[in-house]
Amino acid sequence: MWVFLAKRIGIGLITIWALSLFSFILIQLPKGDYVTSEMIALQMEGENVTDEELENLRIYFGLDKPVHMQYLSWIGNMMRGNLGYSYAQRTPVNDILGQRLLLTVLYAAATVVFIWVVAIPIGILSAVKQYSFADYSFTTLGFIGVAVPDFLLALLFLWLGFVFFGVSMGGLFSPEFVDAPWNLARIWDLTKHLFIPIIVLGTSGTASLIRIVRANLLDELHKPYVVAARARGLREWRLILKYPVRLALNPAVSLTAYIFPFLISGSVIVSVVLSLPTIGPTLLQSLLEQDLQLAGAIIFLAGVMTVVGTLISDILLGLLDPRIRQA
Amino acid sequence: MPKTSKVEDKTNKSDKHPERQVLEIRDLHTQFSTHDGVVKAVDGVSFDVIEGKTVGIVGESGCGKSVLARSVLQLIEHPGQIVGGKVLYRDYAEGEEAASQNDILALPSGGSEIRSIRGGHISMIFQEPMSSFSPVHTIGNQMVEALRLHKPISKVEANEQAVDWLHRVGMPNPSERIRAYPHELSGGQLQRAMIALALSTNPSVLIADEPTTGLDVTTQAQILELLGSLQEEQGMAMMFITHDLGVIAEIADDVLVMYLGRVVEEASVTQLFQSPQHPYTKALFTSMPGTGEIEDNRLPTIKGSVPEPHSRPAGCFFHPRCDSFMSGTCDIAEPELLAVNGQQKASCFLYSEGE
Amino acid sequence: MTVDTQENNESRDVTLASERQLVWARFRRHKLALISTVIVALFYLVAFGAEFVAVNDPVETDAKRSLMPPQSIHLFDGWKPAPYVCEMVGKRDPVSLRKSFEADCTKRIPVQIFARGFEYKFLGLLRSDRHLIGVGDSERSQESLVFPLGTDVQGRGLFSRIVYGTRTSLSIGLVGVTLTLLIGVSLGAVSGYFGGFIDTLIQRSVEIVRAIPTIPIWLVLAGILPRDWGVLQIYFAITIIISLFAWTDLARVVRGRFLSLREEDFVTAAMLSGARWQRIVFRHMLPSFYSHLIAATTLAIPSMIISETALSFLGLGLRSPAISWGVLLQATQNVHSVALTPWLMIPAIPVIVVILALNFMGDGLRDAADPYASTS
Repeated sequence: MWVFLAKRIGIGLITIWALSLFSFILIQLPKGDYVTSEMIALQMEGENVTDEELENLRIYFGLDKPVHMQYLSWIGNMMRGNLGYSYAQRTPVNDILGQRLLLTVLYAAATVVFIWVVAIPIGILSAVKQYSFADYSFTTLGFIGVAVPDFLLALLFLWLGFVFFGVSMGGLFSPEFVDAPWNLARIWDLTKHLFIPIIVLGTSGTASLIRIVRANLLDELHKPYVVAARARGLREWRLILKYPVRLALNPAVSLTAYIFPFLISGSVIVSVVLSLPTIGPTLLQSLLEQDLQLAGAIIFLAGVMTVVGTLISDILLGLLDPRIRQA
Repeated sequence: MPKTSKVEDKTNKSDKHPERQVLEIRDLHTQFSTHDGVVKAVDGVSFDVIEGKTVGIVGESGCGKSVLARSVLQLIEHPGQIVGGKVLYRDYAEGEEAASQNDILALPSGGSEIRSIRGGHISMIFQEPMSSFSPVHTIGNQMVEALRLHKPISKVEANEQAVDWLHRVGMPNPSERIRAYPHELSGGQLQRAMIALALSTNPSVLIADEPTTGLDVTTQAQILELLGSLQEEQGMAMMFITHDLGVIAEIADDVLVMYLGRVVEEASVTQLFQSPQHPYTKALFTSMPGTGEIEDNRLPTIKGSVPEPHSRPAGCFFHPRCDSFMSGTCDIAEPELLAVNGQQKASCFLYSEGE
Repeated sequence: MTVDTQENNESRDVTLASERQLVWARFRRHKLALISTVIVALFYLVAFGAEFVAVNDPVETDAKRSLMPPQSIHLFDGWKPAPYVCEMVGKRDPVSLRKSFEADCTKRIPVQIFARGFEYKFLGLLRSDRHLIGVGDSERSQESLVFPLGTDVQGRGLFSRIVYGTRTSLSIGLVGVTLTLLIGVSLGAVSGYFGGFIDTLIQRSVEIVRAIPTIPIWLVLAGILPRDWGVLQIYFAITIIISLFAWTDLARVVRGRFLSLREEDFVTAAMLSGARWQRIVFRHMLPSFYSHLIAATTLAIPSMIISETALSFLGLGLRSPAISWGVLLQATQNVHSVALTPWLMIPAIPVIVVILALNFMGDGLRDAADPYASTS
């Protein structure tokens, strides 16, 4: 278990490091540094800035140091939760992202729970009642779920909601709750609004999890240990739930680790379509405005979230499977 | 052959008790519907399983012996189906002699009656002990589960009994091994655990489906010895399935030889080894190393190979491979299983001709 | 002392089928996969002959016919098989000033096949003005046109734009998958063939690439592409960006195959006879799992198409004047306008149909290539 975990953490760290490098390069991309552009802006306003003042500003932002030192101080700030400064919006990134980060995490986590709660029972049912009507309908639905891209599904929901109910869906809060402090009413409001986004984001994951659970369970259902358990007189459903389902869940858990990156990915697009206050629309906005400081910070955070989510799934897998625990 | 002395020992011993049938299998038919047609895996098999004795079932792979074993407990899965026959079970524990006879196959599948028979009255052990245990549960977990299904005992008691049984089957360090996962034990140890699990509920019949296949020779001998001594202690009946005539000699009292879903010869183990009647049985013996006459140092084989099970030959199924093939008889009519030599029965026209 | 029999092939009637025949025989059993293959083939046919299939010039704008709803093609005029469409008459609502169209079936525009329409150079070579369907010559002179799926804001025929978009979106799928295949197969082959340290290194990179949330990275990479690049440059840049993260699945499939093939006798034989590793890999090992490769490749195309569509939809992929399904779907970003002009959602249909068909086809191929493999 420890070796396994250490390996996973190692890979997670390397991933974060690669992403941090990517983000940092991204931030360095614009020609000229912030101070130069600030000077141009000030000159446009008719102000006169001396070279000395500029130099002081550079020192203040640490732009006089060599690149690798800048990288180190940048990553140090990131680690301490200081996400940097959006020069385009002249606001600290922390203020821009604010609760968007929290809502992104919440959204992705809620979707994982949704996928599990929906896909596992359906997968089990489909496998145990193979070739039944339910199996066929879920398999068909599953195929469609995998094939319809998230953003098209989001569009479809938006359109249907608008045409048939006259409501414009989107957002995570009713207007009166957007800036309200956290309380039960606000959480309830959020829950109501999260429902459609979760379905949209969770559909393809649910569909693939159903397929995986079904396929694995079908493999397991005819293994000798199942026959052996049946031969010792176990009740059929108890037997299925205790043995083959347990084993079929392992690949399902490792799949969760695998779909987490997709969820963070997908949440970006779905959030844009459904205008959810997550990091997605901010990322798109920052890219369209070429605000690479903000984009870099978001990429880095998305990476960290993915790695942490993946790691949690890995730990769950380790707890579930003694073979991995001892590896 | 060193085995013969052992064979004689066993026959002498079993003469002492009156014979009581625990299981009577009558005209059992199990078939599989596949893409290529219907496979009659068990095609009209009848025999008795007698208290305290072992009936060995021998045949090549694909002859239907495992399907036969599973049919007894209604363990046939889709696309297989038991289409006919009876498995009459008599429980002597409840009363004497004419204890009520139950047709296991008539019990509703998945119901509580069949479940109390499975593992309670009739236990089963399988080949590949490694895959017969769930890899993510401990040995103890699965043993306790079996015990508590069939005995009204607490978890602690069940655990004690499980440790006790592991001890009886010769598992070293049982109170620790009970917490082991299958991948932490060797094949031999796992088979011992499997036997402990199967016998811990005091069943009156043990069905052993190739329990020694895949184990090395030493372990194989130990497991056979263990089964023999436990059978003597418990007095249970045993149905022993194997493709290995050597194992049959070691453990069986009576033997059924199966070929393509049918019994071609039925005999006591002594009769079978001393005078096999059916040409197939004879061929099995000559293809066994260490018996028969060997010319130019090559092991004789049975000519041809087992036909595809969904397209069995007309007449006697064995005729295309038979050395005593009689044209016009064997390829037209199907022989019946008839007595040829006292208790010994064979299904072959060589013996019905004389009548 | 086991009962064993020896194979004796003389007594058995054995017909030998090549691997390809076997795969084909198994594939034919999957009806859904077979139908899907036909659908995919049709789509690629449309992509190939886009100019011929298109009814109107996909870039010709006309404010007068902005947002015209689809015209249904009537196949019979009474009992006579004479296909026609009704003329659309634009009206302006006096209050809301919104323009709307109504079909006026007193004026019928006949439709014929192989009609003459806008001029094009097929594949940049053959000059022609023949189209699959179009209006008759006399009506054409009166500027009557047919728009089977309506028009967009700028009055361009949606049907023709979807047809041209098919070419872009499907070719991105193909070009992207070729790139992916190159990266995936080389890395997978190296990893599986050499094993050891190289294998570990490549496997770790695969895990890292898989742990990265791709869409944000795509967005960023697509977002920092120079604004002044031409359509073709953007097209290839987007394809490369998509392929950059898509190769991991193929690499895994190839590696797994190589690991098992390495143990096969024919590979050992080739090694022992002193063949160079390039020869062993490309002449002996790769051909033995072509069918797996084709299946994995087919299954990789849908995600390419989805990626392009998503990027373009967000405005970071292909941009007008390029035409792709994603570009067309950009028009649906505003729900309020889509509610009034629902036909602008139509480009979503080919996206879903092609992805479904490719998935079914790939699944069928995979099952045919390896009937014993589980779907995981």
